[in-house]
Amino acid sequence: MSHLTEAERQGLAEGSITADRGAALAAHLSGCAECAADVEQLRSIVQRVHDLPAPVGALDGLWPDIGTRIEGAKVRALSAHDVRPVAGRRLRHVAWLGGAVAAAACIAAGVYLRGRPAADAGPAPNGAAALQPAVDSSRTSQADIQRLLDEIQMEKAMLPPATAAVADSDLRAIDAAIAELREALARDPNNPAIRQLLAESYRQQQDLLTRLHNAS
Amino acid sequence: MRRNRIAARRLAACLTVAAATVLWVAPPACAQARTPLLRARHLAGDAPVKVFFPSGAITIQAWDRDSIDVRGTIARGERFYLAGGDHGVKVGVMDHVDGTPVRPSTIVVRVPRRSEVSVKTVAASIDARDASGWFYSVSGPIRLTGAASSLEVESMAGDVSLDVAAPWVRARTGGGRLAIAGAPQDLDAATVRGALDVDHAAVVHGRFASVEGDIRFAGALPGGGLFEFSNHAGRVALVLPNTASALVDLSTITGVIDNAFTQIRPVAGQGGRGGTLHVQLGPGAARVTVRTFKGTITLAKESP
Ligand SMILES: [Zn+2]
Repeated sequence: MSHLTEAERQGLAEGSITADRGAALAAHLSGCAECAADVEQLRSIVQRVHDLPAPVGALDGLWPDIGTRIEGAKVRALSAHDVRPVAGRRLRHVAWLGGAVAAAACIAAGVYLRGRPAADAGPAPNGAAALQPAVDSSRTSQADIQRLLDEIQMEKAMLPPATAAVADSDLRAIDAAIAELREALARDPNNPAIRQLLAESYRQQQDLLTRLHNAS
Repeated sequence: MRRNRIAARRLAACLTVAAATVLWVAPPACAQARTPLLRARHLAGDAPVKVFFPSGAITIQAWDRDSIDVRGTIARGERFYLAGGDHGVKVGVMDHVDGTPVRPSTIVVRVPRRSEVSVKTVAASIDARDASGWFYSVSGPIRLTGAASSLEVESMAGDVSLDVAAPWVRARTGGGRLAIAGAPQDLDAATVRGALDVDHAAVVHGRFASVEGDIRFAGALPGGGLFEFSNHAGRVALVLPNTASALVDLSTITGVIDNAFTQIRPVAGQGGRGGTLHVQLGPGAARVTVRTFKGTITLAKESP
């Protein structure tokens, strides 16, 4: 008697085999411990797979905690005109070369830049004065990010050592950049280029945290 | 030894058949027939396909059929699964509950062209052609080719290579190298410490960033194109054709600007550190902004 095929076993496990065909296969299972055990294992796998959350590429829906907190930071710190409208299910944010405010607000708000650049990505107001609220709020958000960094230590511990080392080096590189930029900003508070670079570093940090979270 | 001989004989047979019917049987059909079929089923043309494949090599290919087909070899002791229905499936090899490493397997997954795939691997390489969706690896290399509707690619530590035509692409890697070619129209690309190379890609809107990795952009800038580069400590090198038409705005806080394209010298920043340079190349049809903290910025001509 030949064993059940892979397709037959997987079909039995997920219940997609027709009743009459299923009866014949069930007869085999009752007399074959090997196939029965495999179908049983597959059933539990299929159950686990159904229970798994779908993998997501972005912050929204992936990380409710960070999303909620950062949304909170946005509401606290950003005035309405700094927050650009989002389109669609996936927060297709529009900081596309839109200028400093959009970029900084993007970081402060924790909105993940993953959208197709929309046609309405007009020029944003520029200049140091316009930047002030966004940078203030990025400080708020930075505290949240630090807490999340602490929380994520657990997840990092689950990574293969070589990958954890890479993640550590990346985090350190970003931290060093942020520290250097903050120092430069303290010396030259009205330099828009420093602010833009700082906003970019926060974006990098947040991207990395999302990737790290996806790894676990 | 014996297996090798058998494999060689099979290959020879395959080649003989291929040679004899060169116009009728493409060699890949031979290879495909040899690879064991793990599972195939009907699938709606736009159904999502979610893949978890920890270790080994996974190839994804889009095809013009409403079905999914998985071929390959699963390592002994590992468990392959395909679960779901006509409107979405999950495919892969289970990881171990106790966290021990999963032995490497090799699979080829064919999916409907309009499927949105989500592929996640730990150490496995990902090679995808004409597939759209999300591709993630912790440390395996990712290579995407062909045409796609949108792509999001992320790696913690692996190399990412894209040679794709797509209206929208987002690509990230930390320590790995990110290489971009093809025609990713709207591109958002970043590394942390890895090099970022854009080699004659037809980008219309591009955002390129790194913290410590060197960024090199070589190629033409389309009229109306928008390009923004930022780097903290790594270099940014723009290698543009003689005929380039762009308004170029370069600034570095403490780094150096090296302009080999025009005669114009950069203006030194506060206290003689850093500098800025604004130049118009040709009619100035594209806009390019480069910012670094301490990385060197170079503007150079492509050798003809
Ligand atoms: Zn059996």
